[in-house]
Amino acid sequence: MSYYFVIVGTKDNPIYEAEFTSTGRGGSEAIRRDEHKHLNQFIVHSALDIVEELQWKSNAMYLKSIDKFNEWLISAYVTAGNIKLMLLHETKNEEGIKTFFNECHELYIKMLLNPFYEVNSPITSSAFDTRVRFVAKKYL
Amino acid sequence: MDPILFTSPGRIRILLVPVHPIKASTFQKHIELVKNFNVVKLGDVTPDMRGSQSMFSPALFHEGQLLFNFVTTYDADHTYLEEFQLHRRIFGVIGIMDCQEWPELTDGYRKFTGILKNYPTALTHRCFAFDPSEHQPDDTKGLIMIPTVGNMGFYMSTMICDFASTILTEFGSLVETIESKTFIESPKVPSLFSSPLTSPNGPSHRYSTPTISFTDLTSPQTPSFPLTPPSQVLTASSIGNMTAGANAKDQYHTRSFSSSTLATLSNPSSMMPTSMSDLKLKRRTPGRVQKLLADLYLLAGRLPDAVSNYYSAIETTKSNSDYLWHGAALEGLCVSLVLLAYLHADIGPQVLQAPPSPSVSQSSSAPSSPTNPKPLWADITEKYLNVITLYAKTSNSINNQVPSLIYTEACLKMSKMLTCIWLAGEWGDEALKMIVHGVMPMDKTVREKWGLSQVSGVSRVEISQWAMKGYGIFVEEMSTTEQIHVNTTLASIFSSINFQRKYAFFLRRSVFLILPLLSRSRLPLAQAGKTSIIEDDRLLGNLRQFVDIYGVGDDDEDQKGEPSEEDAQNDFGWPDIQINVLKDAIMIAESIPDFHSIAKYTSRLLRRLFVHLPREEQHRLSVSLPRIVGLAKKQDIDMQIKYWGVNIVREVQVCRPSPKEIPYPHSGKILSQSDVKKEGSDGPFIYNPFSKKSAETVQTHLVANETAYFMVLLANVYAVDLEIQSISISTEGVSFVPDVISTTIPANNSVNVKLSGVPTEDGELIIRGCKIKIYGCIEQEFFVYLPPKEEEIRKREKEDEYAKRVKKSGLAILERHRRVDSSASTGTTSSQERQHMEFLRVTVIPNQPLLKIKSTSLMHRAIMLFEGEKTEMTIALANIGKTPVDFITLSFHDSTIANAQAILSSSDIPPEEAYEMEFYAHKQSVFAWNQSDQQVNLLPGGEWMLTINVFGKRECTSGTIQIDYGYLNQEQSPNNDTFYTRQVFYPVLLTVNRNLEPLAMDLSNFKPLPDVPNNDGVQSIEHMRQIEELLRVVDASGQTLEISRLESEYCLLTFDIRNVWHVPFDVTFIVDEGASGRIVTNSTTIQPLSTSRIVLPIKRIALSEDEVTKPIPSILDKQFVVSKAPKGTAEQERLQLALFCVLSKWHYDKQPTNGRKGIIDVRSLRLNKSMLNILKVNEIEFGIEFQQSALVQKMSANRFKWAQLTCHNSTLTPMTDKGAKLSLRTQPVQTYGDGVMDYDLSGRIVWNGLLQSTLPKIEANSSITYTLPVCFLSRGDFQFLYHCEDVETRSVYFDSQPLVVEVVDRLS
Repeated sequence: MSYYFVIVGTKDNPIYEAEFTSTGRGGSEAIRRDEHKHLNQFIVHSALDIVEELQWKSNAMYLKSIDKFNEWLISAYVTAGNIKLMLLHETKNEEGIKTFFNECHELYIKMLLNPFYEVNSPITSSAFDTRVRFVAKKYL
Repeated sequence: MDPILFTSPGRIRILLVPVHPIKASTFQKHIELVKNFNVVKLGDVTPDMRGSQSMFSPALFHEGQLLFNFVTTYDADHTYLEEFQLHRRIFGVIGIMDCQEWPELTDGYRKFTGILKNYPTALTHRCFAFDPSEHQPDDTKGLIMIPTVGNMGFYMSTMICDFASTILTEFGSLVETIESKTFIESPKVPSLFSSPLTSPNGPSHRYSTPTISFTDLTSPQTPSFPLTPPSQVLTASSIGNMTAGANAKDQYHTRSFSSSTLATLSNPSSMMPTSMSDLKLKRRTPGRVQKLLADLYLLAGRLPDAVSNYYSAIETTKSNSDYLWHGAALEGLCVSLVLLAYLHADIGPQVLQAPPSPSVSQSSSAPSSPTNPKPLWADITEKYLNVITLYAKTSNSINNQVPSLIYTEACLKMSKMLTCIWLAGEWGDEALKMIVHGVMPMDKTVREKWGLSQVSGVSRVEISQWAMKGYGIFVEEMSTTEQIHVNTTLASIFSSINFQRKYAFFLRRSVFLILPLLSRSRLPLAQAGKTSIIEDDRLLGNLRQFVDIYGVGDDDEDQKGEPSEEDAQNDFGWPDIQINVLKDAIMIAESIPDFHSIAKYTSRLLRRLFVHLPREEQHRLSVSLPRIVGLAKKQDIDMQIKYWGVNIVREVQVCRPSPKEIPYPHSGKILSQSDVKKEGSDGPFIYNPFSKKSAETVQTHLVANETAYFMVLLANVYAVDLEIQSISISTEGVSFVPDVISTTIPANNSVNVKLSGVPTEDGELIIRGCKIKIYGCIEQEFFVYLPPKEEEIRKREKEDEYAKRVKKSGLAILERHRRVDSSASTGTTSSQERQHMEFLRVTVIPNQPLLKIKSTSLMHRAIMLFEGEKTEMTIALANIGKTPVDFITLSFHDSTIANAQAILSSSDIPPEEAYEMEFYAHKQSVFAWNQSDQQVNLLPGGEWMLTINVFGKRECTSGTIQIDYGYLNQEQSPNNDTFYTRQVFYPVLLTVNRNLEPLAMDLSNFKPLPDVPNNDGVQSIEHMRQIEELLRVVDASGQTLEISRLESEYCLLTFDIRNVWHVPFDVTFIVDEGASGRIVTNSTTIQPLSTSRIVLPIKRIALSEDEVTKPIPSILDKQFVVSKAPKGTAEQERLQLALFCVLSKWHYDKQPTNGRKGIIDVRSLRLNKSMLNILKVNEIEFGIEFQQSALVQKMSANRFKWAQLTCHNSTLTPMTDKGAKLSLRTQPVQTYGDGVMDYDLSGRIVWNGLLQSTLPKIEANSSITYTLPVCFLSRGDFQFLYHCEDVETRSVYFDSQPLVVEVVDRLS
């Protein structure tokens, strides 16, 4: 079970990327994931089209699972500032993902409060990273 | 033709084969002609000869249409599907023959029949011979000559109709074959991984020979022209088709098609059914037959029959849960319904209503019912959902597993249909036309539509969901060709609904799938020296498209010659993806190989994404660029690459020349010495806001024919060193000869380079930037613009601020940039933009001379002087330039000025002090130039001597001599032209020693001695004698003076002079009396450290009221500042003014000895009030005497004497012209010699008259005598005190000398 989480800015630019695997697996798995990493990015990027289409049709920020590619599902969450939180996952887990997104949105808002952080710039804060990973562990 | 067309089950596939030899272009032309007739109305088809009993007689459904699908390639991969989906079969073959190539037509026809053997499923065939020449007989049987003259279209349509009729007839026999079969198998994918059951005579081993013959025929032709119709929508799909043709040699084609699949299937040995499945199969067969029949009806255009047959097939297959065939029948039904809906526009509504009615009767379970008001498309969508579920159910079955291709195609077809509706905006004729013919509009306005299409109700998400359903793991297990088909179809769908990113995603995948095939097929071609340009162009076109969508698309930089700055807008996109995409692009370009593209993408990768690339990667890429050029050269492609990175020139500055070479501009008149001197003190105001700060605004001018230097800041943002082979300044305007140097910029570093060049004429020089040749690249010009103006910056800041607010997201941002770019590149805006961006401009002035101080009379630039000493120094100038000097002016600065200025401006000193200070600072100059009238003309190489007077000014420590010189060429140029001068400075260190200082000044009245010297006198005789001597000096000047006048005209000045130096000084005083021409001189020697007192008779000064009341002027033109000091009384002020006036008139010269001459300044001495009274000439003079006798008299008592008081008005000024009205007061007192005065004189003196009386008016320079008869009654010393008071002004005039009378008893 692995997840690929990315926050995409308004210019199709990733501002935060993370991969989560549920439990420690062998090295072969890691290699396979590395190969898949680029594909993941491409898949998420291509799903942005659908996010852009769907975001105007719903009041909810959480857009649920919006796209699939092979066995991968893509869930999306759009903030008011048009920042997209995208998660690539293999199994359906709507509630968990929803909570995960909400928590991450919260974290992102806290990030925005930082006067030294500009919108659309990459998030480099390690604290943010740790918290996101913690949230991921908790809900995914 | 689009391989995944919704209505493809309703199209009859006809293969067009070329009968070689034929030219590719000719073949293409004829294909186009034939393809015009792909729709044939059933009404036009010639009825079957055998009458109406034929099953597919066109007469039964006149409104119907036959749709032909003319293909030029035949994909043998799908042979296994041919009996499941009949439309995949080749029903007919049309040969295209060029009569020009075949002299003997019969031979050509024979060849055609040979070709025919490869297509056993073809029910009929024709051979069209185009462009027959007149001598060629039209006698070959079966060959149809198409004449070039006449109504070709009509002729062709007739031929096609005839052809259609034949096909319809043959359908009948096909039905018989189908109906006669006992078993109809489900299709099995002929590959190992998808179907576990592979028949022993597996497709991979069958019929390899015909395949080869087929490929032999087509392969030399196929790559050289695209065999697909020119598709406007999908370049990728056409490539897919093309490749399908091109890769005909490939191994998987060897498994190829069967000559007669039906026959194969009927062969029981190939199936080996078990008894169980055998039974099941037998039970299912009738339903399947019905489905196939319906397919044929659909192909034959007999839509009502097709619909009814489909319904019954659905019934049957459903009842025995034959999911696969059930789904297929549903699909067929949908196609029939769509086609019916399409035709209704032509034939009227009643027919449309007709077909659904049987569906109600026959299948109640059908998802749609006619009573349902849902539009047909929604109905179809539901049906297809059903189809998908049915197909999905088969995945577990062994025999009837759905081939993944069928499943995918179903999804894609549905998605495509919805796309058509979405594009059309509504369900209607337009949408139907698109669905049936598969032509999608390329209208840009449609593509930009977004969101929910309100009318149609089809959302893009729905389309996307359908499309993605068709894509799964199973797609990767298909054959490459199929994968390409799927990917390109997906790409086209996403492109149509404007899902750019998904489009790019699938486009990229398709290109990757095509690539290996392409390179493989290229190999032999490359060896043959042929390249197919169109093919490459299309692939490159695709590259450009997807690269663009990922935000690393073409930009102006590629077109424009100049490397741009790092632009801030470049933050669009996903760097990881962009890097990947560009690397892919490079790889693809390498495999083609297209060197220009390789270079383009490599440089773009470096330029745009260097931040994200590791050092090694940057190095590899930068090294690869020259390698690419090398490779291109080997292939005789002359390629030059531009520098790939961002602008490396950051700044160009003109270096200021060394101070002595700076030319200073002067406008207008010849500058005079004072002009130069005046620096810093122009205007009367202390602070002038309009005055320019001269230091900042001095512009740098270049001088023609002299080397100019430029500081260039080069920056390298890359992690690799940049080797600059040559760099030079690039200019516009006047001609300029730049010097070329080479350098290296280290990685991630910046370098300051000093470049030089010589402007060869005067005028304006525009510095555009630098011409730089970087290793491996061509020489390029790098522009440097001036920093934008204030408002420009503000505007930009505003824009930046605006850009921070997110107004558009995603690709819309890219669109905006593109629009800005396009407007900038096309229109006038770009030139306007350019105008904002200005180049550095420098004025080049004509040749200027250059002077050097060759030598001076000073040692070590230092000079020692006594205070007040005057001496001379010389400076020798040499002209080391090439231009003569005809103008020299000098100006001087010394260290005292600044000090004095500071004191003056800071402290609030009284005005007379300030005057003194200013006088000291400005009027006494350390240096002075004896400017000779001689015209300066210093030719190149010549020398010139300057003599400068130096004055030992107190407290001066250093000074500077500034020599401005230039070549004015006054004969030729008018005076008011701007001209330039250069400056030479000569600093001088001064040591000024104090030697003599004046002290303790006093002034005293001068009274001539009485003729009779008295030994008992108060003053010593010795002293008197000195004064006598002095007077003699006065006399010696030639004029005799009356003693009485001496008293009134002269006074004595005494002061000490102390010699503080250790050598004696001779001091000579010269008193210049000015107008009267008398000069009084006095010399004395003062020994070291001694003080000597100097006594000088000086003329008293008459000060008029006018002079006294004038305010103290300032030497400098200074703003008048109201004094802050407390104001004294009017009298005080008058006094101060008077003191000031006196002082300003004095001037004394002193001369030290020892061959050194100088002056001593006595201005440091200050007058006080009593001194002033002495010095000043009184307006009213008095004289008092008794009967014209001597001044000091002895008188006998008791006798009346006449004391005569004379008042003389000596003023000459017009002020007192009116005369003085005076009141005279007299007071006799008795003195006792000890200073005690007795004022009560009653009984001692009597007088006849008034002691106080008003005198009549005294005219100017005239006198009045007042006589008072006096009689002393006792002895003793008496004095007469007296004064006058002006009755108008109340000013009182005294006389210094009282009248002293000694009264004795009796005169002897």
